Amino acid sequence: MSSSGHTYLKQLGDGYETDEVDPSDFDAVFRRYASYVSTIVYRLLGDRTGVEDIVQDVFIDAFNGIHTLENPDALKGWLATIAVRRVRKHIRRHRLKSFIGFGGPAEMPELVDEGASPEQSMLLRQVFEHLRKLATEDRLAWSLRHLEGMTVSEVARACQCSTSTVKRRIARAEERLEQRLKND
Amino acid sequence: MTNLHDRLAEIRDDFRPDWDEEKTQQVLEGVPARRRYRRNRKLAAVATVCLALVASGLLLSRGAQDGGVTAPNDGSDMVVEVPDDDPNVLVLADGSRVTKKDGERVELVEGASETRMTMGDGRSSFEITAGADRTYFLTVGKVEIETARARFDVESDASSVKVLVLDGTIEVVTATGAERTLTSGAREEFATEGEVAATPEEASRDDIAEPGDAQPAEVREPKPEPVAAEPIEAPAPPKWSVLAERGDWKEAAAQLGSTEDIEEIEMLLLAADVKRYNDQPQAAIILLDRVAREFPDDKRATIAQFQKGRIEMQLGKYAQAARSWQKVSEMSPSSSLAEDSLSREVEAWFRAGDKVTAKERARTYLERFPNGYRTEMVRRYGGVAKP
Repeated sequence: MSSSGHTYLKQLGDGYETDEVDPSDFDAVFRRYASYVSTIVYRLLGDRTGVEDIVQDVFIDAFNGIHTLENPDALKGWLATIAVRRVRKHIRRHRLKSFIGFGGPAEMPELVDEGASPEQSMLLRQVFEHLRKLATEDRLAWSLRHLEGMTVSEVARACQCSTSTVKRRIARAEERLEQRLKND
Repeated sequence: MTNLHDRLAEIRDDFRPDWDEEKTQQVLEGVPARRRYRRNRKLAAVATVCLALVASGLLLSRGAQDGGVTAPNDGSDMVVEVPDDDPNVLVLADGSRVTKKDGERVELVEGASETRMTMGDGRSSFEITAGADRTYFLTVGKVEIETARARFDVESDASSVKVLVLDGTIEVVTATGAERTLTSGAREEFATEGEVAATPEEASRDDIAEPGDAQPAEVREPKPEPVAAEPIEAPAPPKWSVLAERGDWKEAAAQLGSTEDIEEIEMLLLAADVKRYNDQPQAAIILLDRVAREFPDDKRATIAQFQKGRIEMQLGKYAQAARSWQKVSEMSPSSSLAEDSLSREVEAWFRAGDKVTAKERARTYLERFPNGYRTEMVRRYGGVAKP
């Protein structure tokens, strides 16, 4: 990648603080944010399969559209938005493949801490078992809020919708999750 | 549920992928291969999705009404309005609007959380409103457009699909599988390459034709093959333009030599995009200036001017950007770009430090577009208080 993105940041000079990495430096941005993006993707999917591909796609998408990033400080949030978009596509494709008989069952989520209690691991599996049955948008909103820990505003930005839409989706997901977990 | 939330918060730190620096490096090294894979991917997945939607009963199509836009079936959750005085306009419950300007039919079908549209040759406008709880897909030949919020125009013929984004963001999957994200002001043309083979999507429309469909034969009849007395070979497009159409901007730049010999407006605009995507904004501006100078009566000159303003803004040349956008309003005051340009012009004058002109232009905007979608921003940058 050329360095003109760096030039762009300098020329703005109207109060923007440059990010610690040059947004136009693909490798630097990847190294800085790949772990963050992979965590979002994994927490949304609950399945390691496809995380690497999605992470690569997110950064390729980001660099194809880097000229649209007006505020370099928003790079991290912007990457999160692209990650959500890619996960959404992945979930829909996977659902379709399952529906028409292709694609194996999704893996179950794991905690990295091997010392985690069986109850904690079981909880996560139960949650994902039910999350995967929800409508995609409801699932994404709820997961970003309660698994990734985003605020409602951050979820709205990542999902590119209004906060009231986010609240509606989360409420719907909560209702269904509560019902199903109760029946377990 | 609060208890569940608390318990999940406790394990959040441990609920992450096994990802360290070595993993980052390994995945980074796989990026070039991933780029090649994306370029070569077929559109089979798109056809498969359509087939699955039909099988699941989610894809329903109403028979034709008079006019050019086909509404969803009765009993759908979305209330649809077709204004009596304009059968070529469809207004959906969420405020989204489809307007067929000319050409073949636009068909619209809906699923639980997505709406799928197909468009034949012709021109149509799409206004997909913000906050909609659904995703919209538009298929034009072998090109697919996806959006949740955007205003955009599409013009399609046998050889290409032209897209102009007026607001918001759309994602495009081209005939070759390349993916592009287009935002406000973007203008792209996508080739429809290769044979137009029968796809499951076309077959499904035949299968689900409603009885009493006023014009099913007209819609589904395949276009007659053009008959020529002698085969006419069109000159092959330059290699750089083929690469650019595919989104291979870096490779296109490598092939694009001198731009002085470019004569066609489409090629000038495409070359400007090549320069822009390869971080050569000044070179892009020069080409866009040529479009305005050499093709002053072409409506695409307005788009070139708009694009020029955007680049100047990104370069911090605010006064120049303001003047470029002012010119858009002058060149085409009733165009769909006029409102967008004028609002951006207000911001540009503000950033250039000329608050007097910013205010003056803000007042012009508010006069011309009292219900404009950027009134708040214009008031803010123009320093014009609400009444």
